Amino acid sequence: MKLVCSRENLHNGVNIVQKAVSAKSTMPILQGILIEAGDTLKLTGNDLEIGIECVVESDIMEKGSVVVNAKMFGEIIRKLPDSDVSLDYNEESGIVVIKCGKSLFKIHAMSSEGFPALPEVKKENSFSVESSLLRDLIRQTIFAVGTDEFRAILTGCLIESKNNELNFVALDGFRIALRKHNLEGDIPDFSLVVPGKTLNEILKILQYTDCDIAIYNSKNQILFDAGNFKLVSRLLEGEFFNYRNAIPEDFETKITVDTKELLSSIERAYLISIEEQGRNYPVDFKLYNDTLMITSDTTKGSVKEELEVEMEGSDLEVSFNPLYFIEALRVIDDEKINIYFRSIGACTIKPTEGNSFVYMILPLLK
Amino acid sequence: MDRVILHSDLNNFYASVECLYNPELRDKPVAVCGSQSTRHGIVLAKNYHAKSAGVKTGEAIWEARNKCPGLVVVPPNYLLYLRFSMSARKIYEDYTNLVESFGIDENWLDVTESARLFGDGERIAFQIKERIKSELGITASIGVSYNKIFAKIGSDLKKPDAVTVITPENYKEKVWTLPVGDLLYVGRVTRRKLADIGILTIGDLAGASPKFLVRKLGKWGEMLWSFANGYDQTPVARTDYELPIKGIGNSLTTHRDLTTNEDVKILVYVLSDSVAERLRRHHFKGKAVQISIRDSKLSYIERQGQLDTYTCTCSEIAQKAYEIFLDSWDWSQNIRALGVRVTSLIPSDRHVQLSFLDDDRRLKRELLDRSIDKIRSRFGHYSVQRALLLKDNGLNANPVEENVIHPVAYHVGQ
Repeated sequence: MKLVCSRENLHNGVNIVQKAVSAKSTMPILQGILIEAGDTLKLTGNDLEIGIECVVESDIMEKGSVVVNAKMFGEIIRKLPDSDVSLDYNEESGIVVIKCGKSLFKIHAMSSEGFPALPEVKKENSFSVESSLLRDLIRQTIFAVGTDEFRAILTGCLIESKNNELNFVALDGFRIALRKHNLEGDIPDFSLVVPGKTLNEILKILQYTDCDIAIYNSKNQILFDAGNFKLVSRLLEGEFFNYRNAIPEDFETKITVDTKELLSSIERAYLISIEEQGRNYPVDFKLYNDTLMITSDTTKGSVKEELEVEMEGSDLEVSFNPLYFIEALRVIDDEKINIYFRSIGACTIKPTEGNSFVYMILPLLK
Repeated sequence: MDRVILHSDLNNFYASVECLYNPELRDKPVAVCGSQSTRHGIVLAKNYHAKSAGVKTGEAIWEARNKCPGLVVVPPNYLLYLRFSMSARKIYEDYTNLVESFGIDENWLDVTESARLFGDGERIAFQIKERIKSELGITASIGVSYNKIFAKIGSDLKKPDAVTVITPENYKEKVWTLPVGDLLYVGRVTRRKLADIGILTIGDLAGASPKFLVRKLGKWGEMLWSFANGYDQTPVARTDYELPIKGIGNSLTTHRDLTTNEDVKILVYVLSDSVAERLRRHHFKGKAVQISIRDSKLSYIERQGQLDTYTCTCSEIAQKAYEIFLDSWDWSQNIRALGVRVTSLIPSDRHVQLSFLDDDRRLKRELLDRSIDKIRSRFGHYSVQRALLLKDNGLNANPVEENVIHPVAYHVGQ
């Protein structure tokens, strides 16, 4: 195998596929990146949960394939001068020669034979979204996924399509994050649960790309195809929590409030309410006279914040873990939001117009 | 403006609470002592009768008995003391939110802002002292001053059941004449060092040059000098007193040996019931369940397991304990005594995060257990029983009240 490509392109490609390489794998080959020079240059990383392949622009002089240790190869490429890189693999010696400017590396490599191929995903249940939209859908739900390994299904995010409506849902028992988007075209109905880790990796990769992404899924796998790279992930098995019944329709008090102002107030109150020893001090919400008063009173001290709001319904007092509010408010792009409170039971945050998101948060009982 | 700081000290706290619960002890010399069997046989607290006979905190039981032949020795009941401590704190909190605990029986209160509502510091101190006497049945001595150090000295000046006010006008005659060892943080070693340089009273210390003190005592020197002059500015921090209780448990030696799984199951429920009730009563939840088994040949084993979450309900504790038992006993011997203990405790906060997953059931179980507590407190322990206990076989008991709690069930401190 012999090829030349620019350091920058190679570096970007390695960066992307490295997200699917597990540093802790017991099998050396899974700590590696597969470099395949065929008609094009293709890099692949695969830890058997997530697999990513990426096409890199290059001049191929001699076809072939090899596996190199991802960490070392990645570091070398990252630190090389910005110039053309040539890779030369001699199968007999088992050594890859990397040349760039006046640098010359000879590194030991592995045969590509044992490298697990990415699973085939049938092109069923396909739909296509812009990368910026996919980024938002993930970013605006992923923070609410569960961390409890005993409820593995909740460590993933539910992606469902029904009547051309696409829903992303994450929940951990104390809150629900729901994001809706209406798709154009004829989209089949489906429902699947993608591991939170997978979506986090996609989120990182998508920071650098702006393109359409085709998404396919079969029973056990999901494939994200952006043309120059593909990501395949295992799906989580099991029944997702029936979130629809958990989101209340009724409320006692409704307020309309400026998102950023509310976020800043709660972030300030949080400074007082965080406490060592895993103790949970609540922030208290008090609604009266078109005012939302946020207070917290702990061993560290106390804080009081007042916000002007538009208010409908009765006066009300209720307490929350402030972090749940902060994480939801941070990802809401709308300038104003509606919040529906109940004195005992969940509160919900919704847009002032449309139904593109619902964030539900359960209170703390005093 | 000067601050108004109170220091309240519950007099002979452990011994006073014991006398309250056992009125027949009231006129006898009483000492609360660690148990001899676990080699903690020293005097933890004593009442005034024992004190006047010369009994000192920290000395061995036999020493105390030598000085005071009629001395009544009782084991400590920390959970009871904790409850009184919390009740006293509730009274303090009626006057200010700034309450700082210093040990189980002492508290500082900053009542500067409360004056408009309740009168000056002295008035508040009298109100608190009277309320503690009438509501709790024990006495407190309270010092009133403009800093924490003098307030504490004030509470030591006159005991029991008294209020002492130390002002910027009178502190020289009240405080400066006292031996320097009465100052907070002046222990035996510091006192000796100070005596070497001719400082015997707090007034001597206040009059010394701070630079000289720093040379002799290090950084502390200046701190103590500022204490002695009443310059201390440390705020009253809102802190709770955390009793270092590691676990709550009950064990029972039965009238007859246990011979079947069913016997054990019944006893496990009896014990767990009592452990859970005490966890709830003292606002704890625990995560680790431990069982101890003593067989008919008197050999002893302990086994433990972890629950998924922190709990204070009988059924969760009992299920786990029984499960551990089934895993660890092969019935090669009959069982003479059985214990259930819950450790890894956390204070069960006033705040419960609601969840829409199956925790609902857990919350309901807890509410059910709390309702049973209420019924029992009105109609007696045996008014509500588990159906399992109908199979009784003479194993049912009420370990909470019927004096079969082994004192070793409390493991306090190191």
